[in-house]
Amino acid sequence: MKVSDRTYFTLKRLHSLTGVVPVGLFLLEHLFTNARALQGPEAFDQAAADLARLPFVVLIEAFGIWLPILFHMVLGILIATTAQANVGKHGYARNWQYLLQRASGILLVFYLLYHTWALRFAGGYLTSSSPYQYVNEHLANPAVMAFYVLGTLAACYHFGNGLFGFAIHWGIATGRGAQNAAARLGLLVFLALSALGLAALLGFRGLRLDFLQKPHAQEHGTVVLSGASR
Amino acid sequence: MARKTIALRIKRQDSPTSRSRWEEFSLPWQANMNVVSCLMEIRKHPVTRDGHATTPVHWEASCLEEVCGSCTMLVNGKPRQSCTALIDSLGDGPVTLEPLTKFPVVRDLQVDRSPMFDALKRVKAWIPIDGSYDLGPGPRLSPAEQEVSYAFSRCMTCGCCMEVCPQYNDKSDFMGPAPIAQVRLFNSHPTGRMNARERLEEIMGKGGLVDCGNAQLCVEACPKDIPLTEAFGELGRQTTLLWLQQLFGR
Ligand code: SF4
Ligand code: SF4
Ligand code: FES
Repeated sequence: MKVSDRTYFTLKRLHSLTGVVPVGLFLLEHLFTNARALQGPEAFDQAAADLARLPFVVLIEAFGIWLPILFHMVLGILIATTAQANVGKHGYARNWQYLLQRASGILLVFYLLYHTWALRFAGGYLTSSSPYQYVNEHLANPAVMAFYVLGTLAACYHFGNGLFGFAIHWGIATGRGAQNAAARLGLLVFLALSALGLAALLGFRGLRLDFLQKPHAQEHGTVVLSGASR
Repeated sequence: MARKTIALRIKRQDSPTSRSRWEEFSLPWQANMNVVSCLMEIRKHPVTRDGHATTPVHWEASCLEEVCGSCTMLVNGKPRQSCTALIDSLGDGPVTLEPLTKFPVVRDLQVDRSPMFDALKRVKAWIPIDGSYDLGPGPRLSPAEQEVSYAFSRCMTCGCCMEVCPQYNDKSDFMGPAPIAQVRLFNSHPTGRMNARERLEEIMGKGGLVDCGNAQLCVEACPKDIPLTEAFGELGRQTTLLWLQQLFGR
């Protein structure tokens, strides 16, 4: 396919943009909603039901999540094929980051296909009465759990380190100090999101974390603390 | 304790199309030898370590003081200028010499770096000052601007940055770090700025700045400490602004 220079630039910029908005934003929302599992089955099921009841939810899913992810994926695969990794010869930290960004991206293609099928489209999930219960059984298989841990880490890394690339591509971080700061910020985002994501995975297997709850949370809603009162 | 001999392993190739082979040499050690002086010794007496007569090793050099870039090769796997690669600083093992891998080999250690020069032409890495009449003296640069420009003007198109860049290879059209950094240089010059837009448009297309993957190896490899990655950030900003202008201002 022949694309003009302007279109090529636009596609590359959109690739960078979609990684942050909406895909990165969705990742934040998704991990945060998952973390409701740390407050117990009822809390998570309620959160899932609330999301499912959002107005225009199917359109939001299609145009706000799937389409941008698909676009980001296809272009990302094309980009990854132009790389000639050489960490063996030049083992600088940034070179590892560069390689991991591509490796995590490729892994995520497989992970997301599996994950979307298993926990969005599979018949058993759609007809189950409690999403929490379904995920709980889904993750009972150690191999599946391991794949989810890997997928979560890859997604958090790809997003966190992607912010570093984003900052340079768009010309937000131009100086060396600013670029180093962007790299550290990316690492921090990776670590923080990974902690959140992994805790949520354990939440689906029964882990409860109710600390850091605001003191009067219970009075404000019936849903939030049903797990905590035990 | 000084060593008595210097062992060299050199990757040889007779012509651009012939197959490469390794040859080993052993030379008597002398004080302050560098890779170029070793190659000159071999030229005087082209015999391998096991006593086979061979052709003199072919390489390219000009300034012998790390300003022309022509003598760049892989010394123990790292791209650098062979004229400033002092033998005593290379450790005790054999010294391995190979031609750069990202450019076509002409013969032995000499490569054809013209892809880099062609890219410099693509981005118009010069300042047009010719006219049919005397254009008068150019505008002055502030010392601060001079300092930034000076850093970029030291590029000697040696190709070290291109050699290590994972995005510069046969599978991609990427023009590589060195030519792109020169856009930063010529676009900041008061006269060169008149063609700033043309240069930016050239690096916005396929093979341009957008194809950099931010591995930031180039800046580690550059022997002249040129702040390549700062140039990419700055040019990222300039191309983003131009892109927005073109999108919303047409
Ligand atoms: S930052 Fe990395 S990808 Fe970009 S030019 Fe430098 S080495 Fe190549
Ligand atoms: S930028 Fe540095 S490494 Fe690259 S060609 Fe110029 S001097 Fe050599
Ligand atoms: S001969 Fe000019 S840089 Fe080595």
